[in-house]
Amino acid sequence: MRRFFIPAALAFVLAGAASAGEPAGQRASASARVSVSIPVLHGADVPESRGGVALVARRGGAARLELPPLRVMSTNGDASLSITRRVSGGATARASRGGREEESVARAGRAGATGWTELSGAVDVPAVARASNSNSARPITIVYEVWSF
Amino acid sequence: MVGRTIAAAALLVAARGVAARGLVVSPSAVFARAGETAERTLVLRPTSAGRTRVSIGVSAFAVDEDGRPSLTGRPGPRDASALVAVSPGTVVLDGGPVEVTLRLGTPAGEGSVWAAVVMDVEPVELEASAGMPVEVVTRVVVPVVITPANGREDVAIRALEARRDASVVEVTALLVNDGSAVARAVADVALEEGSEEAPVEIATRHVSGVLLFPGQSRRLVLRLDSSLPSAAAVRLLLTAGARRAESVAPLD
Repeated sequence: MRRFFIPAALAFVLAGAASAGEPAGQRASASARVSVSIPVLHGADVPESRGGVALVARRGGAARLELPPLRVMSTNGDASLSITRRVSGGATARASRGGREEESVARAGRAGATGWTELSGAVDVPAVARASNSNSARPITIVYEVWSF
Repeated sequence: MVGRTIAAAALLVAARGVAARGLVVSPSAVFARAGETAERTLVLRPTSAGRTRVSIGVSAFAVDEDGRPSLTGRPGPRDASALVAVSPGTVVLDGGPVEVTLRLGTPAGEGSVWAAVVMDVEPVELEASAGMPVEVVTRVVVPVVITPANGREDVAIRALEARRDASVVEVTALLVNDGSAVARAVADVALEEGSEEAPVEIATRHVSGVLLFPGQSRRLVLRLDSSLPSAAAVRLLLTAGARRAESVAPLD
């Protein structure tokens, strides 16, 4: 019992100075015990086009779209990342009704050697093959939404 | 931890080697006391050398029981979208950092209110092999929580369970915040052996930044190494400000 509270108390002191979400420079005044300024950052990017992306047709007009890799990073730690992928457009049946597909891609991952985690994947796009041959086809829009807290 | 964080931050400001569109934002969340600071600054940095246009707006958001946030677009009773003004609404990152100012209003009622600052990077345009145009948007979100001076946190552990399988001990806790303010809690989990009267800690797990929204419950699932056959119980200590809650569960 006693051994438990020692690390917990220490963690509490450190958390007071370095918990997630405080702007850089503010933590120094949050605790007189630890006077360090730690930038808390998070970010993401995708590579720019160097050609096309694979779209593999399936039965019934559906297709599987291979996505460019998403890179994500948080100095809060990977476990704080929440990433959602939304797919819309393509004149799919669902999109034409204003709906969209939404998927939680990852809650936590493993950081690579650079501190960035790279996520790749694919999404099913219903009826995209048929839509691509019509004038009503809209671009397929994929939104990666990244939070860290 | 501090050294690792600083090293990671240094790596982040370095531009990516390949052409990419994205950004890095600091801070990753804003927690403000109403009236304490009317303005906050977000610093946006590009992740590659090219020009990157970013559109910035404010939206309502919600967090589900597993802690997953989502933009709702539908303002709820604690929505702060009208209290958060962003300037400018569009920026162009061109090799260096750009500052964005948040002006925060004061909520009228008691308790925390919140909104999300949403930064959309201009789309990467691709072409699928069937000729279908594809756009990929990177969206980075910074939640903003404003808490009045009279806001209070009241965290508790409603349930705690632990079970062991071949490789891990899985601990599931149901946490609640019956106060009026968003609580940023720290969870310390310990595997213990020995008797109830004199337990000995043999493994720990520390999780910071557990957000507990007022009136909501939050399920926290943690996994610890189960190669410790003598472990008999799991203890959870939850700390949020001056509030602490503790619970112990036997290990099946």
